[in-house]
Amino acid sequence: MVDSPSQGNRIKFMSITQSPHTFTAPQTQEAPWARWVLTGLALAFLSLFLLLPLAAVFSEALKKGWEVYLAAITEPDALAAIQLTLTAAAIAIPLNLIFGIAAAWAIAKFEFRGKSILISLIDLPFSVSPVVAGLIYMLIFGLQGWLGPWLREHDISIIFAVPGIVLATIFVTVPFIARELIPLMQAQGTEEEEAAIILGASGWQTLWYITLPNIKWGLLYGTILCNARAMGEFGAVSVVSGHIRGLTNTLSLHVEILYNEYNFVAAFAVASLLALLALVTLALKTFVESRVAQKISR
Amino acid sequence: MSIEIRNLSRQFGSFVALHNINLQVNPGELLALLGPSGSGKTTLLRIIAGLETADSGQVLFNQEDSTTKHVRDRHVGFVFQHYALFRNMTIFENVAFGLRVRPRKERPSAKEITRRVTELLQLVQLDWLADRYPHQLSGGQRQRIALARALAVEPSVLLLDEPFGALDAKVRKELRTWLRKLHDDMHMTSIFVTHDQDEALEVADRVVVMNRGHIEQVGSPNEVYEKPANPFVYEFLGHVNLFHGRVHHGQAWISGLKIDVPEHAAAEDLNAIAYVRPHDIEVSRTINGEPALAAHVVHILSIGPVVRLELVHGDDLTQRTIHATISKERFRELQLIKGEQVFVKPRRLALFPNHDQKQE
Ligand SMILES: Nc1ncnc2c1ncn2[C@@H]1O[C@H](COP(=O)(O)OP(=O)(O)OP(=O)(O)O)[C@@H](O)[C@H]1O
Ligand SMILES: [Mg+2]
Repeated sequence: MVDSPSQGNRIKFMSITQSPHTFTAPQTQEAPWARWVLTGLALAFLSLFLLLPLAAVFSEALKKGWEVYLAAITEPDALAAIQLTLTAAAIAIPLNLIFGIAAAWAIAKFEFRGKSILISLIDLPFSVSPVVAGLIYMLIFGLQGWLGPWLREHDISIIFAVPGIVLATIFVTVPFIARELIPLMQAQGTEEEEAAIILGASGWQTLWYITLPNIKWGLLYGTILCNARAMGEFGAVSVVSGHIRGLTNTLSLHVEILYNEYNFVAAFAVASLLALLALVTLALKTFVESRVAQKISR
Repeated sequence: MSIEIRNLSRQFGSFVALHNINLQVNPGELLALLGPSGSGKTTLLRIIAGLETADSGQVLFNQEDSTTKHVRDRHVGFVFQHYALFRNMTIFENVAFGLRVRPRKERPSAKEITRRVTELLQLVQLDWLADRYPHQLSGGQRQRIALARALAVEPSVLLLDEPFGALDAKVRKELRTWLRKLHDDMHMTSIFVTHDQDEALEVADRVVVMNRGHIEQVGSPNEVYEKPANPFVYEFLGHVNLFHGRVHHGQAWISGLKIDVPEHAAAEDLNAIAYVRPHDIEVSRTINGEPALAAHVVHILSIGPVVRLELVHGDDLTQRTIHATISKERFRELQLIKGEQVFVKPRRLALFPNHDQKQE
């Protein structure tokens, strides 16, 4: 497989860079040479494991020139893969937005029984391997699964079809937005909302004018992460997809197929799209973080 | 608007935060809820506002039960201890919020809103801050904006939770006089929570002294200060000297002094505690024929209009400190210096016989 750094690594990488403003002027007393060596080591490591593969993806993709590159990403199967990836993300993100806001709101602002269970459930997709998640869907919706016969009777296909891919994508992206919002909303407390209600605001007005503006940057941040994961997901989607070209292939799956067919240039060309997505995500994320940092420091 | 609280109780788990509270707040009154930390003041205030529900009991506004009435429909203004200004809105928008969220039919025009908000900002003398955000304001300024925001919807009841809690002494003093004036101008019924006795006694029409979820006493500032209903109120309001003694048939023996207490004529040889305020301690150089306690001056603090004396009575074993406050003139008359012996006696005392614990 020639995906950019694997999903797990990417998540960890992101959480490490989560507080960019801690990287301020040198406050330690090390000798200059020690600082240079350490910085050099870090840079060498980053180059070797992140920049080099990234550069390799693009150089491989463009090895035979722009025309071949363009052809590889505009052939019908590739376009279908792009479309499917975008569709899955476009369904998963709004659903996760609604669910994430609702869950974070409930967890942060109310006391209720089963709260810790809900938190663990939200974390489940982080702790379960995506492949297992895919297998669970097979078990439920597959032909031999619990709902299989009933689904077939009613002519509904979920596994090896678009709904399965959407479901798998939703499953793996559930934690991103809720996890981002819960600590934020907990820190903000409920007083502003209470003040709004006392002043006569309805529940919706309170949500719209008070709660959402207060969490907007966290929300955007969570959405960016959610989107990156939705588009790059491989494991869970791979299990439920069935790899039907032009029908149930997402970008990641398409890369794998092309690569297995020794069609390296095309594989890298499509992979470069994913890599580009990662770069755009990174840029957006940095921008949002700097906005949040500004907010905090003022 | 009058507020009546009937048999109100509230528990958090097994912890009783409020126990059978009964309270009548008269229209136009400024009432202080005074009590130590954790006594249930905030809980009571939040239940009146409708932010919290009671386990049992009722809150009546103008004799009308409001238990099932939503917060929105209670027309209550609430000022939070930590202001709770909307951080994403300018000061102007904060104050305008209550008007802007009204249903279209009741909402004033944009021009009218601007006029009202400007008026309110002028009232709290902060109209020059209209375009700032809450985090750009000082604590005292935020406090006043929180008040202006609550007043914008013209509430008939104003509830304030430790409105001056986080401010320094000087600003507190200013704001409390200002609050009193505001209350009188606006014709509201106001309740404010505080754990500062000076604040409560100085500003309020009546003071409710709370302790561990109970109401200990309700009365005018003068009443609760001069005639505390029980030892707790006595100790909580102002400095006191505490003496242990006995009482029998209208006579008390306190630290060896015999004092007439006609109001306890029925007492039959009971243990008792007596409280004497520092300014009710008479200090003299000679005995003057009347019984008095001998004491030594250990500390003299003569800052301000009065002189505070720290006296020690008794020998090394039974030593106890007595605080006395005397006027500057009296101090000059006596010409006291550290280490001298004086005689003290209580001019007035409050005696609480211990009925539960009969003679051992
Ligand atoms: N949501 C809650 N859950 C559990 N216990 C609570 C809750 N709210 C209040 N309490 C408890 O009820 C008691 C009364 O609390 P309350 O906030 O009314 O005190 P207070 O008189 O306002 O004190 P302070 O002067 O410190 O603000 C406290 O012991 C507090 O721990
Ligand atoms: Mg409180």
